[in-house]
This record gives sequence, C-alpha cells and structure tokens, in this order.
Amino acid sequence: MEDEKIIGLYWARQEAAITETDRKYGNYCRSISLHILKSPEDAEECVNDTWMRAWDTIPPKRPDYLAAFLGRIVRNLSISRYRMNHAQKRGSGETELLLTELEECIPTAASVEDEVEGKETAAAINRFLEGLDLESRNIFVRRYFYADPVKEVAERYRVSESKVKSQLFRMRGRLREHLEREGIVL
Amino acid sequence: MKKSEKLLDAIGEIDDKYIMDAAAEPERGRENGKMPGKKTGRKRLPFGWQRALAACAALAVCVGLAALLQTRGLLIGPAGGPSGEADEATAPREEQAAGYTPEEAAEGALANGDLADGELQGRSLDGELQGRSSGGEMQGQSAPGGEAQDGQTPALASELPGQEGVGAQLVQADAEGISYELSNHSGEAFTYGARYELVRLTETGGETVEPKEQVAWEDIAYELEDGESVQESEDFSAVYGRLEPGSYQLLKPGYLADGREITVTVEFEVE
Repeated sequence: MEDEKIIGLYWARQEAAITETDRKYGNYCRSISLHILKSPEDAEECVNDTWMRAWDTIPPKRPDYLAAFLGRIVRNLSISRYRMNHAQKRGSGETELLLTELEECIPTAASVEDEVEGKETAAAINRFLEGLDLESRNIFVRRYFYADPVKEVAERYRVSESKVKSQLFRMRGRLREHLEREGIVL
Repeated sequence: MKKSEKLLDAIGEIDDKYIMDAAAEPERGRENGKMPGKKTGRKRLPFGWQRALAACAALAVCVGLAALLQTRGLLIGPAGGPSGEADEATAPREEQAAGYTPEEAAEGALANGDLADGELQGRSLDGELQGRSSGGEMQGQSAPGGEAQDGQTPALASELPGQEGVGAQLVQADAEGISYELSNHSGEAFTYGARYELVRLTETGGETVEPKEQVAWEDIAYELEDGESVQESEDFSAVYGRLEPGSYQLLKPGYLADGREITVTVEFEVE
C-alpha cells in the first residue's frame, strides 16, 4: 500500500493503519531496532511502541516520508531502551561500537560555552552530510543512523569492509573538524 | 549523558532525505541510479580481463601483419622478424604482469582498515595478502626463505622504503617484541593506529600468526607528518606470546591524507 494511503488510514483513525504499517515497514523497523538492541524481544517491543507513537502523532502530523518518520521513532526508542538496559555499565555490541566511534567526532573547542541544543547539532550534521558525495553519505547514514554493522554496509554497497572502515574513519575526522568550525560544543 | 550519545541522538534528527537515500537499495549498472564515482573491487576484475583480451587480440593482429609484410619483403626486422616483433610486443606485458598497482596491494594487504573503531581484531589474512607478503614485490622486499627475487637479502630488503614513500626500518626484534623506525616521505601525512598483524614467512608463502586470544586494539590514531620519523615498538607477548624461531613480517596499516590505504612492512628474524 502506498504511504499516502497508509497515512490516510491514520487520519481516518482506522486500525488497519497499524496493520498496513507493520506489513510494509515491520521488517525495516525491526532491523533498525535489532541493530541497536541485539535482543529480538526488546526490538519487538520497540517496534510495537513505534506503531503506538505513530498512532498518537498522526494526525496532526502528515509525514512527507513515512519510512524516515518511522525509522526515526524506532531508532530513538531503541536507543532509549539501550540506555535503560545498560545504565551504569559499559556493555558491548554494535551500539557501544557506534558510541566509541562517534567519540572521535567530538569537537574540541577553544572556549567552552553553553551546551548547544541538539537541533543545532543536527543542523550542523545536515550541513556536513550535504557536502559528502552520495555513497559516502549513505555509508555514514547506514552506519550511524541505521546502526548497520560494517559488514552489512560493505555488502550493501558491494565494497570491502576495509574500504567502509576507512571511509568512516575519514568522515568522522571531517565531522569533528566541521563541528569545530561551526563552534558546536556538546 | 556522554557526548558521543548526544551526537548519536543528533544524528537521529538528520533530514528525511538523507534517511530515505540511505534506505533505498543501491542501484548498480542502471542508467538512472548508479552510485557515482566508485568502482568496486569486483567490477575491476572483469574490466581487467577485457583489457587483457584486447591486448592479446592486438598482439595477434600485429604478429600476423608483421609476418604478412615480411613474407612480401615489405618488412625487414631484427633476426627472426616476426618473433622479434613479438618479443618487443610481449616485453611490456611481462613487465605489467609482474607488478600490480599500489591500490590493489593496499586493498589486499589488510582487510581491516579502520584504525580507531575499537572493534575486536585478529582476522586472518586472505589469500591475496599471503601471496603478496610472500613476494613482497610492492615493498621491494625479498621473497620468503631468504632468496630474494630481486637479489637482495631480507635484512637489506627490510630497510627499503615501503609503498608511497612510507617505510619502516628494523631497529631490534626478538621473540617478545620489535622496535622499528617508521618514516614518512610521501608528501602527505600518514595516519595509523595501534593495530598490526604478523605473518610468518615460509618457503611456500606466508602464514598469519593468530593472536592467542581475541584482541581489542587501543582506540587511538597517530599522525606522522611528511618528512618525519618515529620509533615504534610492539609487544608481541601481550598479543601472540613468545614467537617461535623463524622469519616474520610485521604489517602496519595506515592511510595517507588523500585516503589511500597503505601497509608498511618490516621483516625480522627470531632466533
């Protein structure tokens, strides 16, 4: 079913909206959640919570891109669940790897001022992504938004794992420099 | 909240268009959607074969033409006419066949190229690496077993600069560790991390030395500017335990500023 029609079901408050969303985007959302949580049970809960969140927010929202809308919700829910599961201890797994990698992107500022709001950081990251070529940008987003393991990213774009890792390594360095130039302090 | 977690959250707020672009299945070889600018290793092979076939066809035409002209008295070559022409024609191909590009050597030399991701290491080398490490042509270093393809001893070969102007010179090595001087004359900064790999050189090639247990490399990157040198050391006992006597090659992966992956190697003996 087309996204427009699915969104129409939400607006019409028909529960078929959930069924159709699950049919079209269930695997997509489960994949994102599983990459972050590694637990099928936790991932399933996050996906169900995503449908609830979508039901609660559409309307008044009318997402332009339903996949991005749902992906963002399930990602945020999964990260929150990950934090809850790993409070006070440093765990292992893909999300921990992502956090370790992203530590390289933390900008060092000459003077520490008030912490920048998340939206300003996101805007800076958008500007950074705009400057990348398509493949590099997709690799970055697959790794750090979708939390794909490096191996899956390499398979998806038919390149070697070492190439993916080297590209990510360079992009992390460039992101750090970009955030420093924009005066972003986290 | 850790700063990296804030960054992870911020990445969750990127534009929908970037999320959707990455969600789309990559298109290959189609008119409207091929990923720009990047050739994959898999695509390179068929193209290379096509070039080889085209070269053979061109050679056959040249040989046939030379023979035809000679039989008609229109071509006087060196002794043996067509064979002489063939020799000249094959010489460049033989030279080409003997070598390979730095990019291919670098790509095959070490599969795990990310230096600072903190992932567990200890992957075994693939067949490409074993073939190249045993030959060592790109490094200008000797073949295993002490008999150098270019007539140089292993000791001398280990002093030669590596690819792309980055090289390593052995200072000292034994069963428990190694010290070497890493030098960069590539014209660009060379970035590397804590990771390295060991290959044991044998008469038939090279065998990866497996770590005694899973290794978590230190999450750090070093940068060696052009024209600089630094002495590095590795403690084998922490990763491999004491090495058995034999000939070894240490492989140190890194990148130049323009993104080219290179691997610096140092050969050493453990007695």
